Amino acid sequence: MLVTRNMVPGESVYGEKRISVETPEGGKVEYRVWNPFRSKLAAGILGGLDHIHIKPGAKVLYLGAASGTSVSHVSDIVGPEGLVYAVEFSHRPGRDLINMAKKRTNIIPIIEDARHPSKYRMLIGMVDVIFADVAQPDQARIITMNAHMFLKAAGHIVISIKANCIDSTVDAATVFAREVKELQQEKIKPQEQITLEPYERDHAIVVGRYVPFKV
Amino acid sequence: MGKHSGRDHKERAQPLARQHLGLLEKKKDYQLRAKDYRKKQARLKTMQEKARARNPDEFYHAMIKSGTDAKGRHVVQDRNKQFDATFLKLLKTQDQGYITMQKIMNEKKLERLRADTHIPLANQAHLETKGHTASPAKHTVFVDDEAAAASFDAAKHFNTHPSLLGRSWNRPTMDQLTQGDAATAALGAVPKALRHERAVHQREIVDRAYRVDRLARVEKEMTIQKHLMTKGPRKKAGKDDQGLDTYRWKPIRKK
Repeated sequence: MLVTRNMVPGESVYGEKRISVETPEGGKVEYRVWNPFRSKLAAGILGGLDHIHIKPGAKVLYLGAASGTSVSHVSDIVGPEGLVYAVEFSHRPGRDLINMAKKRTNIIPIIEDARHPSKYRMLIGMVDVIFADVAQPDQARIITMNAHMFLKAAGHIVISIKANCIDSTVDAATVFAREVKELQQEKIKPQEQITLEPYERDHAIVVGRYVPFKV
Repeated sequence: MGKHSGRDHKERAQPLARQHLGLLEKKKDYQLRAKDYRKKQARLKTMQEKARARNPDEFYHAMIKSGTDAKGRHVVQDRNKQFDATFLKLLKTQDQGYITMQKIMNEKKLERLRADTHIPLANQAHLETKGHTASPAKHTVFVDDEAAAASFDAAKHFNTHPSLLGRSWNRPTMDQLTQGDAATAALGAVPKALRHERAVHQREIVDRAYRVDRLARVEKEMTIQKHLMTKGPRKKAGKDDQGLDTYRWKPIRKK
Protein backbone atom coordinates (compact mmCIF):
# COMPACT_ATOMS: atom_id res chain seq x y z
CA MET A 1 0.00 0.00 0.00
CA LEU A 2 1.24 3.45 -0.91
CA VAL A 3 0.79 6.20 1.66
CA THR A 4 1.97 9.76 2.23
CA ARG A 5 2.47 11.39 5.59
CA ASN A 6 -0.52 13.63 6.18
CA MET A 7 0.48 17.26 6.54
CA VAL A 8 -2.91 18.11 8.04
CA PRO A 9 -3.58 15.24 10.49
CA GLY A 10 -7.21 14.36 11.02
CA GLU A 11 -8.41 15.40 7.59
CA SER A 12 -9.06 13.48 4.41
CA VAL A 13 -9.07 15.43 1.15
CA TYR A 14 -11.23 13.24 -1.08
CA GLY A 15 -12.51 10.55 1.27
CA GLU A 16 -9.32 8.48 1.24
CA LYS A 17 -8.44 6.27 4.19
CA ARG A 18 -6.12 7.50 6.90
CA ILE A 19 -3.79 5.35 8.97
CA SER A 20 -2.48 6.48 12.32
CA VAL A 21 0.79 5.04 13.60
CA GLU A 22 2.37 5.48 17.02
CA THR A 23 5.99 6.51 16.97
CA PRO A 24 8.55 5.12 19.45
CA GLU A 25 8.70 8.58 21.03
CA GLY A 26 5.03 8.32 21.92
CA GLY A 27 3.71 10.74 19.30
CA LYS A 28 1.33 9.90 16.51
CA VAL A 29 1.93 10.09 12.79
CA GLU A 30 -0.90 9.97 10.31
CA TYR A 31 -0.64 8.66 6.78
CA ARG A 32 -3.08 9.00 3.89
CA VAL A 33 -3.58 6.16 1.43
CA TRP A 34 -2.64 7.09 -2.13
CA ASN A 35 -4.64 5.07 -4.63
CA PRO A 36 -2.70 4.29 -7.83
CA PHE A 37 -5.95 3.61 -9.66
CA ARG A 38 -6.88 7.26 -9.18
CA SER A 39 -3.52 8.96 -9.46
CA LYS A 40 -1.11 8.52 -12.35
CA LEU A 41 1.82 9.66 -10.30
CA ALA A 42 1.06 6.98 -7.69
CA ALA A 43 0.73 4.42 -10.49
CA GLY A 44 4.15 5.50 -11.79
CA ILE A 45 5.72 5.14 -8.36
CA LEU A 46 4.32 1.63 -7.86
CA GLY A 47 5.24 0.82 -11.46
CA GLY A 48 8.87 1.32 -10.48
CA LEU A 49 9.96 4.81 -11.52
CA ASP A 50 13.54 5.33 -10.40
CA HIS A 51 13.10 8.97 -9.39
CA ILE A 52 10.09 11.21 -9.35
CA HIS A 53 12.30 14.11 -8.18
CA ILE A 54 9.46 15.34 -5.99
CA LYS A 55 11.01 15.30 -2.54
CA PRO A 56 10.80 17.16 0.77
CA GLY A 57 11.56 20.83 0.26
CA ALA A 58 11.15 20.73 -3.54
CA LYS A 59 9.29 23.40 -5.47
CA VAL A 60 6.89 21.80 -7.88
CA LEU A 61 4.83 23.24 -10.71
CA TYR A 62 1.84 20.97 -11.14
CA LEU A 63 0.02 21.44 -14.48
CA GLY A 64 -3.46 19.95 -14.75
CA ALA A 65 -4.18 19.87 -11.03
CA ALA A 66 -7.90 19.06 -11.43
CA SER A 67 -9.62 18.82 -8.02
CA GLY A 68 -6.29 18.49 -6.29
CA THR A 69 -6.44 14.88 -5.15
CA SER A 70 -2.94 14.02 -6.36
CA VAL A 71 -1.78 17.56 -5.57
CA SER A 72 -2.58 16.95 -1.92
CA HIS A 73 -0.24 13.96 -1.87
CA VAL A 74 2.49 15.94 -3.64
CA SER A 75 1.99 18.60 -0.98
CA ASP A 76 2.43 15.89 1.69
CA ILE A 77 5.72 14.86 0.08
CA VAL A 78 7.28 18.30 -0.33
CA GLY A 79 6.19 19.21 3.18
CA PRO A 80 6.09 22.66 4.76
CA GLU A 81 9.53 23.54 3.32
CA GLY A 82 8.43 22.90 -0.24
CA LEU A 83 5.89 24.54 -2.51
CA VAL A 84 3.36 23.29 -5.04
CA TYR A 85 2.04 25.63 -7.70
CA ALA A 86 -1.12 23.92 -8.88
CA VAL A 87 -2.43 25.13 -12.25
CA GLU A 88 -5.92 24.18 -13.38
CA PHE A 89 -8.00 25.81 -16.11
CA SER A 90 -11.52 24.53 -15.36
CA HIS A 91 -13.40 26.46 -12.73
CA ARG A 92 -15.41 23.62 -11.23
CA PRO A 93 -12.49 21.37 -10.20
CA GLY A 94 -10.57 24.59 -9.53
CA ARG A 95 -13.04 25.40 -6.75
CA ASP A 96 -12.22 22.12 -4.97
CA LEU A 97 -8.54 22.82 -5.50
CA ILE A 98 -8.81 26.23 -3.84
CA ASN A 99 -10.76 24.79 -0.90
CA MET A 100 -8.11 22.13 -0.43
CA ALA A 101 -5.32 24.72 -0.61
CA LYS A 102 -6.93 26.64 2.27
CA LYS A 103 -5.88 23.84 4.62
CA ARG A 104 -2.48 23.27 3.02
CA THR A 105 -0.32 26.31 3.07
CA ASN A 106 2.31 24.92 0.72
CA ILE A 107 -0.09 24.85 -2.23
CA ILE A 108 -0.62 27.90 -4.41
CA PRO A 109 -3.68 27.29 -6.59
CA ILE A 110 -3.74 29.05 -9.95
CA ILE A 111 -6.90 28.95 -12.05
CA GLU A 112 -5.44 29.77 -15.44
CA ASP A 113 -4.76 28.21 -18.84
CA ALA A 114 -1.36 26.50 -18.81
CA ARG A 115 -1.06 27.44 -22.50
CA HIS A 116 -0.43 31.02 -21.44
CA PRO A 117 2.23 30.82 -18.73
CA SER A 118 2.87 34.56 -18.97
CA LYS A 119 -0.54 35.14 -17.38
CA TYR A 120 0.61 33.65 -14.10
CA ARG A 121 4.34 34.38 -14.27
CA MET A 122 4.15 36.90 -11.44
CA LEU A 123 2.89 34.19 -9.07
CA ILE A 124 5.61 31.64 -9.67
CA GLY A 125 9.28 31.57 -8.88
CA MET A 126 11.77 29.08 -10.34
CA VAL A 127 10.79 25.48 -9.69
CA ASP A 128 12.76 22.23 -9.33
CA VAL A 129 10.20 19.94 -10.95
CA ILE A 130 7.30 20.27 -13.35
CA PHE A 131 4.66 17.58 -13.15
CA ALA A 132 2.11 17.66 -15.96
CA ASP A 133 -1.07 15.72 -16.43
CA VAL A 134 -2.82 17.92 -18.98
CA ALA A 135 -4.05 15.36 -21.55
CA GLN A 136 -4.07 17.80 -24.45
CA PRO A 137 -2.92 17.14 -28.02
CA ASP A 138 -0.39 19.96 -27.72
CA GLN A 139 0.77 18.98 -24.25
CA ALA A 140 4.47 18.80 -25.20
CA ARG A 141 4.29 22.45 -26.26
CA ILE A 142 2.45 23.44 -23.09
CA ILE A 143 5.03 21.72 -20.90
CA THR A 144 8.11 23.02 -22.69
CA MET A 145 6.74 26.58 -22.65
CA ASN A 146 6.31 26.33 -18.90
CA ALA A 147 9.73 24.72 -18.55
CA HIS A 148 11.41 27.57 -20.45
CA MET A 149 9.72 30.11 -18.17
CA PHE A 150 9.85 28.50 -14.73
CA LEU A 151 12.09 25.42 -14.62
CA LYS A 152 15.59 25.91 -13.36
CA ALA A 153 18.53 24.54 -15.33
CA ALA A 154 18.98 20.80 -14.71
CA GLY A 155 15.48 20.68 -13.20
CA HIS A 156 13.19 17.79 -14.01
CA ILE A 157 9.91 17.22 -15.71
CA VAL A 158 7.58 14.34 -14.97
CA ILE A 159 4.75 14.07 -17.46
CA SER A 160 1.85 11.74 -17.81
CA ILE A 161 0.82 10.91 -21.38
CA LYS A 162 -2.57 9.52 -22.33
CA ALA A 163 -2.12 8.10 -25.82
CA ASN A 164 -5.80 8.49 -26.74
CA CYS A 165 -5.81 12.22 -26.02
CA ILE A 166 -2.95 12.91 -28.38
CA ASP A 167 -3.60 10.63 -31.33
CA SER A 168 -6.13 7.83 -31.19
CA THR A 169 -5.35 6.54 -34.69
CA VAL A 170 -1.92 5.08 -33.99
CA ASP A 171 -0.80 2.70 -31.27
CA ALA A 172 0.23 3.96 -27.86
CA ALA A 173 3.96 3.19 -28.16
CA THR A 174 4.21 5.36 -31.28
CA VAL A 175 2.50 8.25 -29.53
CA PHE A 176 4.88 7.98 -26.57
CA ALA A 177 7.90 7.91 -28.90
CA ARG A 178 6.65 11.01 -30.73
CA GLU A 179 6.11 12.92 -27.50
CA VAL A 180 9.59 12.02 -26.29
CA LYS A 181 11.03 13.27 -29.57
CA GLU A 182 9.13 16.53 -29.25
CA LEU A 183 10.48 17.03 -25.74
CA GLN A 184 14.02 16.34 -26.96
CA GLN A 185 13.72 19.11 -29.52
CA GLU A 186 12.85 21.48 -26.68
CA LYS A 187 16.00 20.85 -24.63
CA ILE A 188 14.51 18.18 -22.43
CA LYS A 189 16.62 15.07 -22.12
CA PRO A 190 14.45 12.02 -21.49
CA GLN A 191 15.62 9.77 -18.67
CA GLU A 192 13.03 7.09 -18.25
CA GLN A 193 9.59 6.12 -19.42
CA ILE A 194 7.14 3.73 -17.85
CA THR A 195 3.75 2.48 -18.97
CA LEU A 196 1.06 2.42 -16.31
CA GLU A 197 -0.40 -1.07 -16.69
CA PRO A 198 -2.32 -2.46 -14.88
CA TYR A 199 -3.54 0.78 -13.34
CA GLU A 200 -4.27 2.62 -16.58
CA ARG A 201 -4.48 1.50 -20.17
CA ASP A 202 -2.30 3.21 -22.81
CA HIS A 203 -0.80 5.69 -20.38
CA ALA A 204 2.84 6.43 -19.76
CA ILE A 205 4.91 8.58 -17.49
CA VAL A 206 8.04 10.14 -18.91
CA VAL A 207 10.74 11.64 -16.72
CA GLY A 208 13.20 14.08 -18.28
CA ARG A 209 15.87 16.55 -17.36
CA TYR A 210 15.88 20.13 -18.54
CA VAL A 211 19.22 21.01 -20.12
CA PRO A 212 18.84 24.52 -21.57
CA PHE A 213 22.55 24.92 -22.39
CA LYS A 214 25.70 22.81 -22.60
CA VAL A 215 27.92 22.99 -19.54
CA MET B 1 -107.10 -17.43 -4.48
CA GLY B 2 -105.80 -17.72 -8.04
CA LYS B 3 -107.71 -17.75 -11.32
CA HIS B 4 -106.84 -21.35 -11.98
CA SER B 5 -109.15 -23.16 -9.82
CA GLY B 6 -109.33 -26.17 -12.13
CA ARG B 7 -106.94 -29.07 -12.17
CA ASP B 8 -103.19 -28.77 -12.80
CA HIS B 9 -101.85 -29.73 -16.28
CA LYS B 10 -98.67 -31.77 -15.85
CA GLU B 11 -95.95 -31.56 -18.50
CA ARG B 12 -95.78 -34.64 -20.70
CA ALA B 13 -92.68 -36.75 -20.12
CA GLN B 14 -90.78 -39.08 -22.45
CA PRO B 15 -92.51 -42.46 -22.52
CA LEU B 16 -90.54 -45.19 -20.85
CA ALA B 17 -90.13 -47.06 -24.12
CA ARG B 18 -88.40 -44.05 -25.73
CA GLN B 19 -86.25 -43.13 -22.73
CA HIS B 20 -83.10 -44.14 -24.59
CA LEU B 21 -83.62 -41.05 -26.85
CA GLY B 22 -83.18 -38.64 -23.93
CA LEU B 23 -85.62 -35.99 -22.72
CA LEU B 24 -88.79 -35.44 -24.72
CA GLU B 25 -88.30 -32.52 -27.11
CA LYS B 26 -90.75 -29.62 -26.79
CA LYS B 27 -91.46 -26.85 -29.28
CA LYS B 28 -89.08 -24.48 -27.47
CA ASP B 29 -86.29 -27.02 -27.83
CA TYR B 30 -87.09 -27.63 -31.45
CA GLN B 31 -86.92 -23.90 -32.20
CA LEU B 32 -83.45 -23.59 -30.67
CA ARG B 33 -82.21 -26.65 -32.52
CA ALA B 34 -83.58 -25.46 -35.84
CA LYS B 35 -82.16 -21.98 -35.42
CA ASP B 36 -78.70 -23.39 -34.66
CA TYR B 37 -78.92 -25.74 -37.63
CA ARG B 38 -79.84 -22.91 -39.98
CA LYS B 39 -77.03 -20.75 -38.67
CA LYS B 40 -74.48 -23.47 -39.25
CA GLN B 41 -75.83 -24.17 -42.71
CA ALA B 42 -75.61 -20.50 -43.60
CA ARG B 43 -72.03 -20.39 -42.36
CA LEU B 44 -71.08 -23.46 -44.34
CA LYS B 45 -72.66 -21.91 -47.36
CA THR B 46 -70.61 -18.69 -47.05
CA MET B 47 -67.44 -20.72 -46.59
CA GLN B 48 -68.21 -22.79 -49.66
CA GLU B 49 -68.96 -19.60 -51.52
CA LYS B 50 -65.63 -18.09 -50.45
CA ALA B 51 -63.74 -21.25 -51.36
CA ARG B 52 -65.33 -21.22 -54.80
CA ALA B 53 -64.48 -17.55 -55.34
CA ARG B 54 -60.90 -17.93 -54.00
CA ASN B 55 -58.07 -16.57 -56.13
CA PRO B 56 -55.46 -19.35 -56.17
CA ASP B 57 -52.65 -16.80 -56.78
CA GLU B 58 -53.43 -14.63 -53.78
CA PHE B 59 -51.02 -14.57 -50.78
CA TYR B 60 -52.00 -14.27 -47.15
CA HIS B 61 -49.49 -13.97 -44.28
CA ALA B 62 -51.51 -16.50 -42.35
CA MET B 63 -50.36 -19.06 -44.90
CA ILE B 64 -46.86 -18.96 -43.49
CA LYS B 65 -47.55 -17.78 -39.96
CA SER B 66 -50.11 -20.34 -38.97
CA GLY B 67 -49.96 -24.08 -38.91
CA THR B 68 -50.97 -27.05 -36.82
CA ASP B 69 -49.26 -28.36 -33.74
CA ALA B 70 -48.44 -31.99 -32.93
CA LYS B 71 -52.05 -32.71 -31.97
CA GLY B 72 -53.40 -31.20 -35.13
CA ARG B 73 -54.69 -28.02 -33.50
CA HIS B 74 -54.56 -24.78 -35.44
CA VAL B 75 -52.00 -22.32 -34.00
CA VAL B 76 -50.77 -18.90 -35.01
CA GLN B 77 -47.03 -18.93 -34.70
CA ASP B 78 -46.37 -15.18 -34.52
CA ARG B 79 -45.38 -15.03 -30.88
CA ASN B 80 -44.43 -11.34 -30.96
CA LYS B 81 -48.10 -10.53 -31.23
CA GLN B 82 -48.59 -11.83 -27.69
CA PHE B 83 -47.49 -8.47 -26.23
CA ASP B 84 -47.79 -5.04 -27.69
CA ALA B 85 -44.76 -2.83 -28.29
CA THR B 86 -45.26 -0.54 -25.27
CA PHE B 87 -45.46 -3.50 -22.92
CA LEU B 88 -42.31 -5.01 -24.41
CA LYS B 89 -40.54 -1.68 -24.06
CA LEU B 90 -41.50 -1.55 -20.40
CA LEU B 91 -40.17 -5.06 -19.84
CA LYS B 92 -36.90 -4.18 -21.51
CA THR B 93 -36.38 -0.96 -19.58
CA GLN B 94 -37.02 -2.80 -16.32
CA ASP B 95 -34.33 -5.32 -17.28
CA GLN B 96 -32.01 -2.49 -18.16
CA GLY B 97 -32.60 -0.89 -14.79
CA TYR B 98 -31.52 -4.09 -13.12
CA ILE B 99 -28.41 -4.39 -15.28
CA THR B 100 -27.47 -0.78 -14.54
CA MET B 101 -27.97 -1.36 -10.82
CA GLN B 102 -25.74 -4.43 -10.90
CA LYS B 103 -23.10 -2.58 -12.86
CA ILE B 104 -23.00 0.33 -10.42
CA MET B 105 -22.90 -2.09 -7.48
CA ASN B 106 -19.94 -3.94 -8.97
CA GLU B 107 -18.17 -0.71 -9.84
CA LYS B 108 -18.49 0.49 -6.26
CA LYS B 109 -17.13 -2.80 -4.89
CA LEU B 110 -14.28 -2.74 -7.41
CA GLU B 111 -13.41 0.81 -6.41
CA ARG B 112 -13.32 -0.19 -2.74
CA LEU B 113 -11.18 -3.26 -3.43
CA ARG B 114 -8.75 -1.29 -5.52
CA ALA B 115 -8.43 1.34 -2.84
CA ASP B 116 -7.15 -1.35 -0.49
CA THR B 117 -5.12 -3.49 -2.86
CA HIS B 118 -2.55 -1.35 -4.56
CA ILE B 119 -0.02 -3.87 -5.64
CA PRO B 120 -1.29 -6.30 -8.23
CA LEU B 121 0.26 -9.74 -8.41
CA ALA B 122 1.51 -11.08 -11.66
CA ASN B 123 -1.41 -13.43 -12.04
CA GLN B 124 -1.27 -13.45 -15.78
CA ALA B 125 -2.99 -16.82 -16.18
CA HIS B 126 -6.15 -15.66 -14.46
CA LEU B 127 -6.19 -12.48 -16.53
CA GLU B 128 -5.88 -14.41 -19.78
CA THR B 129 -8.80 -16.68 -18.95
CA LYS B 130 -10.89 -13.59 -18.46
CA GLY B 131 -10.15 -12.41 -21.96
CA HIS B 132 -7.96 -9.52 -20.91
CA THR B 133 -4.99 -8.64 -23.01
CA ALA B 134 -3.20 -6.82 -20.24
CA SER B 135 0.32 -6.35 -21.39
CA PRO B 136 2.82 -5.99 -18.57
CA ALA B 137 4.09 -2.51 -17.83
CA LYS B 138 7.21 -1.52 -19.72
CA HIS B 139 10.04 0.45 -18.17
CA THR B 140 12.35 2.23 -20.60
CA VAL B 141 15.56 3.93 -19.58
CA PHE B 142 17.07 6.46 -21.98
CA VAL B 143 20.85 6.63 -22.22
CA ASP B 144 23.20 8.96 -24.11
CA ASP B 145 24.56 6.77 -26.90
CA GLU B 146 24.85 3.23 -28.21
CA ALA B 147 27.98 2.50 -26.21
CA ALA B 148 26.14 3.38 -23.01
CA ALA B 149 23.21 1.21 -24.11
CA ALA B 150 25.54 -1.74 -24.73
CA SER B 151 27.21 -1.45 -21.33
CA PHE B 152 23.95 -0.72 -19.47
CA ASP B 153 23.74 -2.39 -16.10
CA ALA B 154 20.23 -2.20 -14.66
CA ALA B 155 21.26 -2.99 -11.08
CA LYS B 156 23.87 -0.24 -11.18
CA HIS B 157 21.51 2.25 -12.77
CA PHE B 158 18.76 1.69 -10.22
CA ASN B 159 21.36 1.48 -7.43
CA THR B 160 19.96 -1.75 -6.06
CA HIS B 161 20.73 -5.41 -5.63
CA PRO B 162 20.45 -7.47 -8.86
CA SER B 163 18.07 -9.90 -7.15
CA LEU B 164 15.60 -7.06 -6.58
CA LEU B 165 15.40 -5.94 -10.20
CA GLY B 166 12.22 -7.91 -10.80
CA ARG B 167 10.42 -5.72 -8.28
CA SER B 168 8.79 -2.52 -9.35
CA TRP B 169 7.78 -1.56 -5.82
CA ASN B 170 9.59 -1.68 -2.49
CA ARG B 171 12.97 -1.80 -4.17
CA PRO B 172 15.52 -0.54 -1.63
CA THR B 173 18.69 1.20 -2.80
CA MET B 174 22.17 -0.12 -2.04
CA ASP B 175 22.62 2.49 0.74
CA GLN B 176 19.44 1.33 2.45
CA LEU B 177 20.52 -2.28 2.13
CA THR B 178 23.98 -1.71 3.59
CA GLN B 179 22.54 0.28 6.48
CA GLY B 180 20.70 -2.86 7.48
CA ASP B 181 17.74 -1.07 8.97
CA ALA B 182 14.08 -1.91 8.57
CA ALA B 183 14.45 -1.71 4.81
CA THR B 184 16.21 -5.05 4.75
CA ALA B 185 13.02 -6.58 6.05
CA ALA B 186 11.64 -5.83 2.64
CA LEU B 187 14.11 -8.34 1.23
CA GLY B 188 12.54 -11.25 3.05
CA ALA B 189 9.81 -13.37 1.52
CA VAL B 190 6.23 -12.26 1.90
CA PRO B 191 4.45 -14.38 4.56
CA LYS B 192 2.27 -17.12 3.12
CA ALA B 193 -0.97 -15.91 4.72
CA LEU B 194 -0.44 -12.42 3.35
CA ARG B 195 0.39 -13.79 -0.06
CA HIS B 196 -2.79 -15.84 -0.04
CA GLU B 197 -4.90 -12.87 1.04
CA ARG B 198 -3.42 -10.75 -1.72
CA ALA B 199 -4.09 -13.43 -4.31
CA VAL B 200 -7.72 -13.69 -3.23
CA HIS B 201 -8.15 -9.92 -3.43
CA GLN B 202 -6.45 -9.83 -6.76
CA ARG B 203 -8.68 -12.53 -8.18
CA GLU B 204 -11.78 -10.75 -6.99
CA ILE B 205 -10.58 -7.50 -8.59
CA VAL B 206 -10.03 -9.21 -11.92
CA ASP B 207 -13.40 -10.97 -11.76
CA ARG B 208 -15.27 -7.83 -10.82
CA ALA B 209 -13.52 -5.78 -13.47
CA TYR B 210 -14.52 -8.41 -16.01
CA ARG B 211 -18.12 -8.39 -14.76
CA VAL B 212 -18.35 -4.61 -14.93
CA ASP B 213 -17.01 -4.77 -18.45
CA ARG B 214 -19.61 -7.34 -19.54
CA LEU B 215 -22.47 -5.53 -17.81
CA ALA B 216 -21.50 -2.27 -19.48
CA ARG B 217 -21.65 -4.05 -22.80
CA VAL B 218 -25.07 -5.55 -22.12
CA GLU B 219 -26.33 -2.18 -20.94
CA LYS B 220 -25.16 -0.56 -24.12
CA GLU B 221 -26.73 -3.22 -26.26
CA MET B 222 -30.03 -2.78 -24.43
CA THR B 223 -29.93 0.95 -25.05
CA ILE B 224 -29.41 0.28 -28.73
CA GLN B 225 -32.35 -2.15 -28.73
CA LYS B 226 -34.53 0.45 -27.03
CA HIS B 227 -33.64 3.03 -29.62
CA LEU B 228 -34.33 0.55 -32.39
CA MET B 229 -37.89 0.21 -31.09
CA THR B 230 -38.59 3.83 -31.99
CA LYS B 231 -39.83 4.94 -35.38
CA GLY B 232 -37.85 6.66 -38.08
CA PRO B 233 -35.47 5.62 -40.82
CA ARG B 234 -32.13 4.41 -39.52
CA LYS B 235 -29.08 2.81 -40.98
CA LYS B 236 -26.25 0.69 -39.62
CA ALA B 237 -23.26 2.97 -39.18
CA GLY B 238 -20.59 0.41 -38.34
CA LYS B 239 -19.30 -1.15 -35.18
CA ASP B 240 -18.07 0.43 -31.98
CA ASP B 241 -14.98 -0.53 -29.98
CA GLN B 242 -16.89 -3.30 -28.22
CA GLY B 243 -17.99 -4.87 -31.49
CA LEU B 244 -21.63 -3.73 -31.19
CA ASP B 245 -23.52 -2.41 -34.18
CA THR B 246 -24.05 1.32 -34.19
CA TYR B 247 -26.95 3.00 -35.97
CA ARG B 248 -27.54 6.41 -37.39
CA TRP B 249 -31.03 7.89 -37.51
CA LYS B 250 -32.06 10.14 -40.32
CA PRO B 251 -32.62 13.58 -38.85
CA ILE B 252 -36.29 14.49 -39.04
CA ARG B 253 -37.44 18.03 -38.58
CA LYS B 254 -39.82 18.29 -35.67
CA LYS B 255 -42.52 20.91 -36.16
